[in-house]
Amino acid sequence: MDDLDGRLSALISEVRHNPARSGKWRRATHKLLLEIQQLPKLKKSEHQNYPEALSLTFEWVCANIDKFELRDPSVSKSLVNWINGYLGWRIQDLYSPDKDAPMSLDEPISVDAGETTRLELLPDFTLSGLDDLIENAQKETTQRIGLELELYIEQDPEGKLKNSYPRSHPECNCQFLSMRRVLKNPPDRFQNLAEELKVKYTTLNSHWKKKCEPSLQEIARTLGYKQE
Amino acid sequence: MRTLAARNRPHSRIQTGMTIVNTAEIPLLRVPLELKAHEMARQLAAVQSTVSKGKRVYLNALAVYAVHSYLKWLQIETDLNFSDSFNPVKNAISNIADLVIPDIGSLECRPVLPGETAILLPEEVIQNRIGYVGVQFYDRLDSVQLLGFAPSFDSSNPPQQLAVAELMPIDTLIEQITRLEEAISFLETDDPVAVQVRSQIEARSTSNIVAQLEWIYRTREDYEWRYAGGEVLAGSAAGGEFTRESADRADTDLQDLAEALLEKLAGIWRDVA
Repeated sequence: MDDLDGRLSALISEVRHNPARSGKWRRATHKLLLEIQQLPKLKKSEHQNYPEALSLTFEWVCANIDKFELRDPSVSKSLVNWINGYLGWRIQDLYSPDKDAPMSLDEPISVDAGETTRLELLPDFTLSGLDDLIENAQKETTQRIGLELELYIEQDPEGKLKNSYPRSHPECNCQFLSMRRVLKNPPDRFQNLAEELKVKYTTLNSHWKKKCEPSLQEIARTLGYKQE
Repeated sequence: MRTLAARNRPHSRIQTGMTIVNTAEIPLLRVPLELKAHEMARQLAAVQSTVSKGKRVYLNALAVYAVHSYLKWLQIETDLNFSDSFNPVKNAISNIADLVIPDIGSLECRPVLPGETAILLPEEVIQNRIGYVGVQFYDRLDSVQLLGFAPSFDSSNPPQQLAVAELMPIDTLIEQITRLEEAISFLETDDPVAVQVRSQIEARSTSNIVAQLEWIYRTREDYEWRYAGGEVLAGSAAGGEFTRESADRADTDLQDLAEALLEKLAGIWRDVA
C-alpha cells in the first residue's frame, strides 16, 4: 500500500467512525475531499457546466463515503472508479437536459439558426472578460435599481433623505451620507466622515444603519423594486 | 481544568503569534462554480449603477456561492435568500459578501483577486459576523479556492484589512461552526446551567450570545471569563476593556452563572477541537 492509499484509507475510516456532521466527521471529510481533488484520473468534460457535475459529485461523495467498497487492491484506483461512476452520470445529465426545464441550453435556438445552441452563445467566464459581460448585462436591463437609487439620492425630490439627520446635526443627513457612501467610489469611511462632520462615530454609524439604510430600501420599494 | 482548556484553545496560538500559518504550503480546496452561480451573480450585477459596482457585486456573489457549496458538501445548511449579498438593493448601498448559516450567524466571504495579498474589510462587514473566509479567484471563473479563515474580531477596534498570510487553514472554519452549533444545542438541553441561562437571556438571540461567549473564550484569559461573560448575559456588549468598575456593576449571580456556563462550554469545545 503506497502513501496515498494509506492516507486515503485512514481518512475513509476516520469519516466512517465519526457521526455525520460532527466536527471530527467534517474535518476528516474536508481532508478526504482535498485528497480526492488531487486524484488525476477523475472524469473530465469540456461542457461549460462541468463545474456543476463536479460539485454534485463532491456532495454525493461526502454523503455516501460510508457505502464505498474496495473493489481493487489499490484504494485510490478503487475510489476513483467509484467516484467516476457517479460523475459520469452527472456529466451525461448535462447533455440530456431536464424535460421540465423552461429553456434548454443544448437545444438549437430555432430551426433557422441551424445547430447553434444557447450553450455556445454563453460567454466564457473569465475575470478579464467580466467588464464586458457586466456592461452587456446592464445594457440589456431596463430597470436597474442601483442606477435609479443613485439618481434618487442626487435629486431627493421630496427631501426625505436631506431631512433625516441626528438631532442638532443637519449636515449629517442621509442625502449627504448616501452621496459619500453609495455614489462615491470607493466610499468614504464612517470614521473619516465623523471627523469631517464633527459628529460622534457611533451617532453617525447608528443613524446610517437605523435611518438611512431603511429609507433607501423603502425608496427602492417605491421605485418599483420588489424584494422577495 | 480551566488551565487545560486554555492551553487547548486552538485559535489562541495564532493570536499570541506562536504559530504562523503559511497557506501557500497547504493544498487548498477547490470549489467549482456552476452556471447557476454565474447566472445569479449576473442578475445581481445587471441592476447596479456602474460596471465597477457590478463587478464588485458579481465577485462577492461568486465568493459567497462557493462557500455555500463547500458548506453544503459538509452538510452545513446555509441560506442564500436571507443573505444580504443576494439582495440587489443592499448590494447597491454596501459592499457585502455575507452568507447566513441559519441559527448560527453570518459568515463573510471575501474575494481575493490574482496578485492581491490582503482582504479588504469594509466597515459594513465588521459587526455581526462569526468570521471571514478568503476566496482566491483566478482568471478562469470556473472554480475558486478557499484560502483560509479568520474568526470575528473585537468590533471596537477592527482592522481595515486582513493579510492572506495571516489566515488560518479553512478547517478552523469548520471548528468554529461546530463550536457554535454545539454551544447552541447545549443551551437547548435540560442541564441546570442551560435552563438558568435560557431564563436569563429570554427573547435575546441565542446565536448572538453564543458568538460573544465564544469570542471571550478565544481571546480572554480564563480569570476574565466570569466578568466578561457576566456582562454578555446581562445584555451589554462584550467589546472593550473589562474594568473593575464595570465588573462591580455586574451582578455576582450572573457572574457565577457565566462562569459555570463558560466552563461547560469550554468542556464541550475542548472535545470539538
